[in-house]
Amino acid sequence: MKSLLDVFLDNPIIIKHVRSRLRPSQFLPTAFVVFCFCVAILWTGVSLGAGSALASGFTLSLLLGLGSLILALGGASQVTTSVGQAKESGILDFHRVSPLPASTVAIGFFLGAPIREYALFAITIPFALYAAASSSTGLVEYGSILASQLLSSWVLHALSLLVALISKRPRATGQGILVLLVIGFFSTRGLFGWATSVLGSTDEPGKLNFFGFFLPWIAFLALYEGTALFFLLIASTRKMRAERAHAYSKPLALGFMGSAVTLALGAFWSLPTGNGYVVPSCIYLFTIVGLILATTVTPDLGEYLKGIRRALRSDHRRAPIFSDAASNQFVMYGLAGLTAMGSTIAWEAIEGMPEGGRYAYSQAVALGTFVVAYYGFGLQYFLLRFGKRGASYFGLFLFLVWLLPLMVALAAGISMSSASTTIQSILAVSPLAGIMLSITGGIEGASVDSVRFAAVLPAVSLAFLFHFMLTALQRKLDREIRSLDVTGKPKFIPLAELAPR
Amino acid sequence: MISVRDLRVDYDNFCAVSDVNLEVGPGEVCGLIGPNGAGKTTTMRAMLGLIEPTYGEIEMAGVDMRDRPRDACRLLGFMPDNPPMYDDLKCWEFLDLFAASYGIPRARRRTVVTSHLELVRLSAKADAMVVELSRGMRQRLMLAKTLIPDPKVLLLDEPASGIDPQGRIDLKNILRDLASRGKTVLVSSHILTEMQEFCTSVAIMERGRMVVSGLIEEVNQRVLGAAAVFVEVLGTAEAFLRIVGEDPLAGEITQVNGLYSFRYAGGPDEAAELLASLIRAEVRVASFAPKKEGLEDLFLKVGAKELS
Repeated sequence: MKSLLDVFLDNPIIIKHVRSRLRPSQFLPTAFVVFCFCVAILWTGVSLGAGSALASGFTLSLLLGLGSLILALGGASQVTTSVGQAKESGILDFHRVSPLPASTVAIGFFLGAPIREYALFAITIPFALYAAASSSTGLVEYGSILASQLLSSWVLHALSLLVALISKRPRATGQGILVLLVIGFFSTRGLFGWATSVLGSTDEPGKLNFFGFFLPWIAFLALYEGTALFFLLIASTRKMRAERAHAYSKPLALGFMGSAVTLALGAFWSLPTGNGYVVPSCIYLFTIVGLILATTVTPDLGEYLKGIRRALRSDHRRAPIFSDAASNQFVMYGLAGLTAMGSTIAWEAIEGMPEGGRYAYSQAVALGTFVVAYYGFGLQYFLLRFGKRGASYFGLFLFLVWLLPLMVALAAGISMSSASTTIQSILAVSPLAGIMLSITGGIEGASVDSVRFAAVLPAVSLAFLFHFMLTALQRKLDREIRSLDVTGKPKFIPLAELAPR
Repeated sequence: MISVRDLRVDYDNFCAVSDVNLEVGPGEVCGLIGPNGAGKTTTMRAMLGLIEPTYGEIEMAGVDMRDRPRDACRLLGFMPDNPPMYDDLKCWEFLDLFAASYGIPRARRRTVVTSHLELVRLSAKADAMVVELSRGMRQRLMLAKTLIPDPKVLLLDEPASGIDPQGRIDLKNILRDLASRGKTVLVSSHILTEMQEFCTSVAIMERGRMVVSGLIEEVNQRVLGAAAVFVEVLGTAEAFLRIVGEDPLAGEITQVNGLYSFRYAGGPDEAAELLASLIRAEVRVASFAPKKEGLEDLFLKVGAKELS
């Protein structure tokens, strides 16, 4: 218990940030500015209507906005800056070679870098408390809002930490805009408002559905954001331990995918049948998550060859299938399988649509599954076949298969001014549109079978083609390395050769 | 001690280090030398666990780097060239950060930090911000940081770079002192003349391979063979050429600018006897000096051999 507490209380990285970021000469002027802002907001609220719940609610919203701006936006930016500087200067390597566990270092940057923002955020709390007590929100509800603010900020901080550790040249500005957009989205209550209206209980306001159980919204949020936080911090810890490590190990990637599928299904579980958007949403979501995870677990040529050489030293043919250096082939079966399983459960157990109708999902589920598979196999093939140029060539391949059909179909659609079967079939070749077109069977007037065929055929063909090519390439590389190890081993110069003759 | 066996490191498709074997015992200061791109830094980074080797075994003071990396890290001190620092900390705060990182109890940290600031003559700068330090002072502060956990093994990459003459003398004394206390030190540097003053062993790398390693005297003997002797003879050299030519321990005699030189396989006693023979034969010897060959000669010899 003591060591767990020490991770927070005697964490050298947190102490470092407390010392460098809370020096009175730097902290006090900013604190004074925030204090003045809070006083101004509260004064405005009081002036608008002393004691009125509406005015207090408005004041509270402004104070919450200010707090979120400081903690989420400022904090995330600080995490990126702090980790970026440590990485670029090389001092992160000192932490890597110190006996401090990587998790402690990651927690240190995660909680320490935004330490000034926590202190500034704390200044807003008494003002927000006063406004909450005066408004209809109440102190208990304010407690939940405060917790949600912290949770959401932590997710953003963890995301910034991971991005900073992955990026070659991390910069806070680009992410700042992203964070601003996220805050903007949340502040309009877009996603949360949608979630409350769709997933909320009509009988018990403030509760959200999870696999049929209605949870208080803060518990629901904690479940989802807690899971995100866990996987982000795990990845950050791995990257903190070794720069060249993959963000996720192969079992972790499968765990991530499983969790994403479970959480998505959990949220959609008790929705009324026949709503028409659960399955498409699930297929798109699972496919995107599958693609991201496939990218994180795919080794490049150098890693793969290193794995074979290491395996040969210990009399094995290849690296263990779950090691970072192993080909992504086996984990892709898992990711594609989870995509298929999750989408099918969404179809069978939630949406419950009859088979064979216009809105049948079997082709769309297959399409999502095979897209995940061919993306993973294709990426692995390109990286092993073309080395450092592989990623660029794979990008070109994705452009040809995913974007070009959209552009061709758009151009043809404009010139022909009609949505013919041919145009829709071209459009369906790209999975971006293909998933939805294979569900709807295209716009009225098009041949349903042709459109579905055009959507599914490339995905299935490419999955099998890349699988075959990848297997053949792996065998070729294995043979080459084995023969090199016997005949091409770099020669060691014996000392005798150096002695004078 | 440091023990590296069959180390190989690959970057993508490029083999940076191959078949590297190195043993550095306690109390030894080993100079790791080689031209740019020879693989010195890669070898050091692999020893530190910053690069995962393709294969090979690395032990630091008997602890396997791959099996127990955290235990091995406790025994290691590392000082890179151009040391990175937290510029927004004070000098004592910087040392305190690493004292805490190496698990030194809070109650002892202040004393440890103060003593190490004294060791590198930076006590007066304890409250100065790191950003205000000169390059040499930063190097000294980094040395203090490296020594804070009292490591059994020290890996130093260009430690004297940017340090003023007094700092260099201090560094040499510190390294000698560490060696005398049984620490193992591996130093990578291009300033071979300086390394010669404190290194007891040498490891020469070339194109990713360890060309030769061992105690300096042994390696010198093996690689350079007999020591070179330079003799200045006044007047006729006929008797000199005859006596030296008849000595079975002497090699071929060459003459450059009136100075004769030859390789001599004998020890100090045999050399003294040869000089006495020359004097007895009334050869007018103005100087008789066996040349002390250093790391530079060794490096040039090995490098030339490798490249040829």
